[in-house]
Amino acid sequence: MIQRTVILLFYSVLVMLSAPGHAADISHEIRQSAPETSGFLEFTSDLSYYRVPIIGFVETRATNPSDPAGGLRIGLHGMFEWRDFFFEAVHGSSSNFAFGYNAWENERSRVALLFSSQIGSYTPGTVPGYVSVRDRDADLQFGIRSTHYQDNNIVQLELGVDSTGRGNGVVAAWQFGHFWQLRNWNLHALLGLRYFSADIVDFYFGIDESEVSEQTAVYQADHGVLTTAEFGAAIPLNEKWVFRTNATVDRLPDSVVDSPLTQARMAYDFSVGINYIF
Amino acid sequence: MTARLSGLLLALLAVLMCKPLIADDIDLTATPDKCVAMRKGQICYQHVTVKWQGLGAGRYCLMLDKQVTALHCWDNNNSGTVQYPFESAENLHFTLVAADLPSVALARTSVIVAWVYNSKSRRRSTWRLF
Repeated sequence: MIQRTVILLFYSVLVMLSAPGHAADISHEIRQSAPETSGFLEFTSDLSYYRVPIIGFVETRATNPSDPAGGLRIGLHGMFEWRDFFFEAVHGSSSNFAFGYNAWENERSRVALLFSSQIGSYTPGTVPGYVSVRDRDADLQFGIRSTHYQDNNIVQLELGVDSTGRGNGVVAAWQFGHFWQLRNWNLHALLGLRYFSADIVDFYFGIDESEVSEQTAVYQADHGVLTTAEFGAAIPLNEKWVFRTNATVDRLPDSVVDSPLTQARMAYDFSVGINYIF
Repeated sequence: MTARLSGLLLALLAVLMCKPLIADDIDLTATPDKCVAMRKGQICYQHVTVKWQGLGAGRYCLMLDKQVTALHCWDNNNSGTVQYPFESAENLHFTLVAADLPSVALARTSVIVAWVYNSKSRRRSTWRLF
C-alpha cells in the first residue's frame, strides 16, 4: 500500500514537472506559427531601422532625439515556466516583460493572470531643452490575458489595471494574428488595438506646471487607443537558426500626439536578422 | 531439446531470408538528406537529388515508400540521378530495386524531416487553483 502510494506520488510529480504549458505573448506565437507550449529561449540579432517619435523614449541624442535611427540590435528573449507560473520577455512584444500564472486552458483557449509592463520607463529630462521634464518610471499592470486559437488565427485579449499605486489606470487590448505557410516560409500578420485610460496617458505624456519650459507647455492628456499593424516572414536555416524579417507600424493616439513630448503621429520598426533557438 | 534448437534455427533462417538484401557496395544517396520546417507537423519543401551507382548494367527503378509505382526507372544503366520535389511532413524513404524483382531492395536512403519549434499538443480543459 505504502509502495503504491509512493509510486503514485512519484508519477504525480513527474506529470507536474513535465506538464506542457502555457500561452505566450501573441507576438511570439504568431511568429512561430503555433502556440507556445513549453517555454523558449532565443538569441536575436537584427539590423533595424526604426522611429519612436517621443522625446527620450529610445535613446538620448543631442539633436533630433526622436528622428529615425538604425543599427545592429542583439539580445535574448524567451519565456520560462515553473509549474503554471511563467515569466516572459518577448522581443517585439507590446509588453516589455510579463509574469503570471496560467489559470485555465482547453484545446482552443488559455487564460492567464499576470503582471506586465507595457510602456516602460523613459527619460525625457536627459534631452537638451527638456531638462525640466521628470523621468517616467516603468508601469506595472495586473490583469487577465486570454488567448484563443482557431486554425491559423490567434486572438489575444488583455485587461489590466495599474498596480503601481499612481492612480486608477486601465489598459485593454485586442490583438488578432494570422499566419500562413508559403513553402518553407512562414508569414504572419498582426493587428492590435490597445486602449490606455487617461491616468496612464497623462502620467507618461502630460506636462505639469513644474515641468514647463520653452519646449513644454502644460498639457493634460486624455485616454487614447494605440493601433499596431505588423507583417513578418521567417524561414528556418536549420534546426537552430531562423532568418526573420519584420515590419511594424504604430499609429499613436491623439492624446499622445498632442503632447509636447511627441513629434509625430507614426512610429515604426523594420528589421531583418537571424535568431538562434536554444 | 534438439527439437527446440531446430525450431530456433529454422526461425532464424526464416528471418534472414525475409530480410531485404541490401548490398554494401551500392551507393544510393539523397542530397540534402534533411528538410527543416518551422514547426513539427508542417509540410517541408526541398529539392532533393537522388543518386545511385555501383551496380552492373541493368534495368533499375527508384521506389518511394508507400507508393506502388516507381518514381523513376533506368534502362541498361549502372548509375542514375533524379531530381525529386520533396514535400512531406514526415521522413521519406527511397528504395532502389531491380525492375524485374521490385520486392527486393538493393539499397535504401532517407530524407529526414526536422523542425525548429516542437509544438506539443495542449491539455484538455482544466481549472487549476493555487
